[in-house]
Amino acid sequence: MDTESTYSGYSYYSGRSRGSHRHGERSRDRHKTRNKDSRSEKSVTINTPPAEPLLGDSAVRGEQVQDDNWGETTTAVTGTSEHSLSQEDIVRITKDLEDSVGLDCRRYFTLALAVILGLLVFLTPLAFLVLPHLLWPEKLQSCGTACEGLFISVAFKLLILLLAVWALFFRPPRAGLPRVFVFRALLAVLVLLFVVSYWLFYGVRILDSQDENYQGIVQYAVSLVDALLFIHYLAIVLLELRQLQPCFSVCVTRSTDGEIRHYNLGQLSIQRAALAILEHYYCDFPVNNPALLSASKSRAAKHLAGLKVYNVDDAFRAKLKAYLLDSPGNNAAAAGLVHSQSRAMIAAAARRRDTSHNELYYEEAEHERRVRKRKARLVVAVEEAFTHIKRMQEEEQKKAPGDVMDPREAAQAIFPSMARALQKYLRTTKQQHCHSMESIQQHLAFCITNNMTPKAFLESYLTPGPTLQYSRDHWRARQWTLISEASVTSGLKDGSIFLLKCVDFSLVVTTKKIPYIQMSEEYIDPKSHKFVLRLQSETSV
Amino acid sequence: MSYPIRQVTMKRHKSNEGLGFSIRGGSEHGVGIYVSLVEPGSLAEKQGLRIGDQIMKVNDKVFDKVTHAEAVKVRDLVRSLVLSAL
Repeated sequence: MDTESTYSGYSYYSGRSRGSHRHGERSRDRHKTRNKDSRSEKSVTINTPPAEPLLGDSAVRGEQVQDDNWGETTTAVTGTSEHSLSQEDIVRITKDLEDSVGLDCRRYFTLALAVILGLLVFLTPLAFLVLPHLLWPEKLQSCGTACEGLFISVAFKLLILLLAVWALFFRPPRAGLPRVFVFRALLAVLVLLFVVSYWLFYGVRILDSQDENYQGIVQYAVSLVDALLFIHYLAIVLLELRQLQPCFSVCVTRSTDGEIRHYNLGQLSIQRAALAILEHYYCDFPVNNPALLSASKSRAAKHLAGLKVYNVDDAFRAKLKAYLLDSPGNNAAAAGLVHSQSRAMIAAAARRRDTSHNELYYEEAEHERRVRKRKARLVVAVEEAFTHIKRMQEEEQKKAPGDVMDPREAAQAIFPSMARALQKYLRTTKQQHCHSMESIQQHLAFCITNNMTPKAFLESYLTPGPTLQYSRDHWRARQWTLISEASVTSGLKDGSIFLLKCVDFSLVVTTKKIPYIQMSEEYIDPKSHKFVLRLQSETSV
Repeated sequence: MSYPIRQVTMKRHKSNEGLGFSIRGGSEHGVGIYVSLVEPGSLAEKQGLRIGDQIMKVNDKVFDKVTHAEAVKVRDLVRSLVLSAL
């Protein structure tokens, strides 16, 4: 698979694929295909000891997407140039074609469609105006001043339309989404139908009958351009404005360390909501550090090692039943026990029960102490290192040209004195793989250039920053998979849950609707603010 | 605790003359009407009013649960006071 992170030329009409008029059949086919695939797909469950299904019973469906089935129910939000297809029936028919021709073909195909539609839209009014002059110039009435005024209006409206389409649609795409963007497809179809109907009318009533009223033809062309501008307005409302008003509050949880963030989203489809969430993820969530979870994993391993598992099979169950039912008054309990699950886990090491939390407590206290000690040493070392260099002023630079250094050399000169302390601190906080020596030196040169204090230099190492801060190759997951029970082009609803999976972890997203707020008003007359003293007043009589 | 009850009649020489004492209290504060100040040389002092006396009845109107403002209103019509004296 192509894993290079390139942006596809995903312009306005790129969501449209052939046969999009079969929209009605699409949803039915999707249901059928999904059920079929759930039976044929193997589901790979993750090996953690208490394996609870995350999304309920239907979690089997679409859980793990395998390479050979990726075209069918693929819900892959990728930052690469991959596109999965929008319609399952076309996928089934053309699957080999697609595999052989490659993925770039799909992208260029949609781009070509977009360009063709655009040219059609822009050249149609011009064609309407020019064709009468070409075909029956002698019969045509001459164009008076009103008519020429309309020429100017057509020209400017076309210019405005061109700028507006460029502003709205010709932007570099941010991602490749699994399904077609429904609104864009609908708009493309609408525009196409509209233009085709105008051409039909033109062809029948004007070309065939060779109408001489040129002003009427010009007005017809103007009405076409006006209607196109209105369709553009519709496009703005549907594509941009509708989701601005926040409607849902989504809670995003990272599965490895439980980082939670909440965002407000408008009315979006699930795939667009997933895209918005991923963009927020890269900016807000601290970087995923698997080294921090090793302690809890070792504790879990120790727990498992202390357990003994008894397999309660039928022979044992029969013996147990006989034993329990012999003693009087125990029948109900016995029946319940016997009908319970056939696999019972009994904790054998009862004596070790109380020590693990003690160990955790002392270990954490010790770690805290160690981190603070290392941090103190680090701060002192960095502050001392920063005092070794001084910025030279302009006049001094001219006077003593020897022994001056540029920021990079200055950084390299003072780095060794703080290197060891920094290295030890990063090791203690398990961040040593996040920062390479090269990146540290670069950051040091950057801080020196911008007159930053030692504390400012250290901040990026003391707290883990968002994922985008770190170098590209380490942390940016290219491939995200969207796992959802509902169709990814359906809208967000209250209580919808979906997962965004990448290689190391997954993000669990739950949605809640922002409640409808009923507000009433109450008028307070400013003169009605009156007060009495609580002290007893004294009146003389 | 019940204090002895006295009846006092006050006759004003001039119609706009004050009675010569100040009252505090009222039902809005949860207490009765009490004399808080007696002006020296006034009608009230001559009649033997003292600070701390509670006004029980004025002109046969019982001052049981009367507010401070109502008590003040009655002032102009005072002919006789019944008070419970310390």
